[in-house]
Amino acid sequence: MPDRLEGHTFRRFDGELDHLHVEILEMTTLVFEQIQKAIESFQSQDQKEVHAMIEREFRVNILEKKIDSSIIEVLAKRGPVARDLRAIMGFSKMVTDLERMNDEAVRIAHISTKIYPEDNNRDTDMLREIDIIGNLACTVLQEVIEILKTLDLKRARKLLIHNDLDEEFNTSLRRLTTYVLEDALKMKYTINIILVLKSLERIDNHARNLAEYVIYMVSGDDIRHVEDYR
Amino acid sequence: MSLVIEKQWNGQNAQIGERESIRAPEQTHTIVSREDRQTVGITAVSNPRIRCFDVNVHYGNKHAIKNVSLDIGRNEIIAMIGPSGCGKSTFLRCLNRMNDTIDHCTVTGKIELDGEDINDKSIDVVPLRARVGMVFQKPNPFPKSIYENVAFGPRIHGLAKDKTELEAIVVTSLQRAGLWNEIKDCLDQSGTSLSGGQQQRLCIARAIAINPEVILMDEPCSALDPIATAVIEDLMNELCSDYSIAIVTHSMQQAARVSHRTAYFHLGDLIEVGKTEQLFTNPIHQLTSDYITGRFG
Amino acid sequence: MNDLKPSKLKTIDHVNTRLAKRHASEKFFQRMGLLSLFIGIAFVFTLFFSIVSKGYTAFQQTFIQIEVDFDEQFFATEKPYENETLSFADYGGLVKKSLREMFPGVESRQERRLLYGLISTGAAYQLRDMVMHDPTLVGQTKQVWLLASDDVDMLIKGHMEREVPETDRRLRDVQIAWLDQLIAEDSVSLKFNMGFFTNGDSREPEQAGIWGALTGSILTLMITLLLSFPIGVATAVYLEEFAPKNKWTDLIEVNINNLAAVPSIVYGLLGLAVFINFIGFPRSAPLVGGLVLTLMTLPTIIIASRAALKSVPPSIREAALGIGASKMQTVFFHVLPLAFPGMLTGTIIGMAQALGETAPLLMIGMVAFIVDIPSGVFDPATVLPVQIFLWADSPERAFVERTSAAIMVLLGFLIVMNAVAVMLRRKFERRW
Repeated sequence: MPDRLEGHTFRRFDGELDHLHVEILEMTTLVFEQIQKAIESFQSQDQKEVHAMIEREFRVNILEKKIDSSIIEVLAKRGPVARDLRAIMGFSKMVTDLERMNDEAVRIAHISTKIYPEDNNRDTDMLREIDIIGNLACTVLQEVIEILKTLDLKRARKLLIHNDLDEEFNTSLRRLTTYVLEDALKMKYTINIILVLKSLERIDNHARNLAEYVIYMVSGDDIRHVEDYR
Repeated sequence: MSLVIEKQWNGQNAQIGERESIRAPEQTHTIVSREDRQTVGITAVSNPRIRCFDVNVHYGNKHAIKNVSLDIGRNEIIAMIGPSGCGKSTFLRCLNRMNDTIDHCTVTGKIELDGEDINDKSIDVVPLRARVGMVFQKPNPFPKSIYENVAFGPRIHGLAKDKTELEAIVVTSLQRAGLWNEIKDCLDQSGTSLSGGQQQRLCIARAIAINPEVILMDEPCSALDPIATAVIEDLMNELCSDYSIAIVTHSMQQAARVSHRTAYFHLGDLIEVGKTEQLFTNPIHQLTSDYITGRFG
Repeated sequence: MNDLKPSKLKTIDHVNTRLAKRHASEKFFQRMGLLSLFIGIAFVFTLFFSIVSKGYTAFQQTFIQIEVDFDEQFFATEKPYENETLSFADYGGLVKKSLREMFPGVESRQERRLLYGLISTGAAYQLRDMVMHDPTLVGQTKQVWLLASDDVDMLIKGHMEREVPETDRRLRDVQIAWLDQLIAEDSVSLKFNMGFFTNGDSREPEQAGIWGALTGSILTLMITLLLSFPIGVATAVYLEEFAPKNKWTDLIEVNINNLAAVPSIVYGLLGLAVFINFIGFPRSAPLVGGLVLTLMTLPTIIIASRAALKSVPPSIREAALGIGASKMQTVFFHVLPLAFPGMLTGTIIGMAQALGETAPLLMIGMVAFIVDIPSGVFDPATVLPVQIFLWADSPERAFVERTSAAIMVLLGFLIVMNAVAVMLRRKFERRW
């Protein structure tokens, strides 16, 4: 398979790249869990768990710094070119995106604690919007984790071609508008929901970026900001 | 210096200019498999100095170069890389017929220097080598004075009318090779008494003293330390405004640093040719990729 | 798993157990080398000692002082003396008369003959040369140191025992008595033997010199050098630099190597057949000797020159070719100067070999007894080693020391040649 990262004459280089790959996967999984927890926080009654999740942000940050220093080390020591260079650059960009995703997850959690200080006045209709968009974002993220694991070019391209979340986001906005029109008092509540939805939309965008990096890593094609790609 | 290169690739023509719009790239990720020995990439340039068509070299029964076609442009530095025994040096030596000196070595195919077939019977090898100079792997100054080293070429070709003219040639050559300031007080000193890097620059001065059109460099820095290497690479960069330079190197970093285009050879085949940036970030052929990322052996 | 465990003994222990043995064998080897060196030096010293101890006396010669009366009646002509008439005078008679006057008591024919035997027959020529040089001597009486005969010389130098019975030695008792009388008068003395270096060969040991052989050697070697160096170098350059490598050049190379091992007498036979019988060059001539020795030394020079050319790094050739020098410019400006010291060494080795060569020269007649000093390459001549061979073969006791002395001259000649070679090498040698 041409897409493997190992096979260097310097076998330690294999190990270093592998290690980076594993760390990226670890970070992605961690971020994924954070996002899941953040979405669940709207259903859950347990404020403690939400706070624990917010606390866990530091783990992602530590991982980010660790991966960054590993990348610098590999660049300095190995002078990678071609596929290896692209892999390193891809990993480096992934780290940034993952960190942003984590930030968004924390933001969602904060909103959750803000609008539900106690277990009362839940608007299940509006929460359903979060559920729909959140599920979509999670599916994309799950697929991205798989793509990252296998570095599968076809799956990455397939993922990028379909974008269900955008449409769903617009529909959700329209629905939320009707709620506000019904009851102007729900304005503050609705805005918070919209902020959550926006965060979820951003998470989805970052996840798609990850897929783009995988394509760049494997094939060398830079498909960012390419209009006619989809 | 923007070279607009006519891009011929898989039969498609595409214009790459300075204003390159963001658009979907071709299916570059379809990496060419290891077994395929067809040259990938663009071998032709729009303003070639040397054009090679289907060059084959045999050493006795050994087929050292197989159907290599490659252009060397004006004011271009082209690097040739590849594992040992891949034929890159042999190919380089075809360009000024240095292979003539080796017995049992036959070169077929067409090599044109400014449209003239250099393997033609009517072409004399002496003026050819005056037009296509060469710098070798090991610094090989003559065991004579520095002045004599540089003056030898112009003298045998009769480039100087008198002594003052010859002196002027020697001085400018040494200046262009960046050696003048270091040795201007000891031109009578033996060329072999210089340091390795200075010797190699002396050899470059000797090569440019006869004002060639092309300079061939066969691993010019393999015996030098990084500082001397950097000086020579810098020098090459300056020289390429007047000469075409073809360099064979084992150091991929060097190829990446100095060259405009890079050609990758493998077991006598020219595997891939491309702009250096492209070849070192996104090689098309699996073999190229394996070699430059260090996956051989 | 047990056998995978590293044994208690580490590598250094294994090394240490064998270390003493290794050092011992190394020392043994060094000592063997030193021993062979000593044996070699001992042999050389023995050789030198024996030659020098036997030969050094030849550089001195016994002279006897005699009062010679250059009586005008011997010179049958009136003043002024013509050179021609002077040279035909009976100088032998003059010597005999002087001797008779010194020992008036000697009357009988036999005794007189013994008396004349004290002085070399060459003494007459000595007197003639004196008179020719200074005709005013005629009519004067002068004390002259005349060359003694070889037997007297041997007695004075102590090579002849007085104690052995009279019949067993070449000098009679009466002659020894006369000699003793002369010694008592301080009229016998050892002087520097100029004649050894200026005379040609002679049947009389006391008159024999090496100048003829030395001249012959120099002429022969000059011919050899003039022919073999250019031909050898040209051949080597062509074979090494220009000739294509194919089975013909391989064949030539093999044959050159074989020629170097051909016995030298074969070249002599070849020279005899081709140069003397076919072309018709004179026998015994240095020209023919030089030609024959050229044939003999050519393979040596070619092989050495090719080795020298091979040792010039190919990078120098490439450098010159790479800037457009033609093959010949490359060879003459760069390769030859670098190979020159090696070629020179090969040539000197060949010349030394030629200088010491005897066998092929015997075949072309250079073994003849030649008294005259050769004045050109067509004159009959002999060479130093052949001269040594001839003298070693002669029965007279006095030739023994001359043989050794000639060997010393030959060795000296060789040393001078080698010194010149070393000097030239120093001058031309360059580092690369």
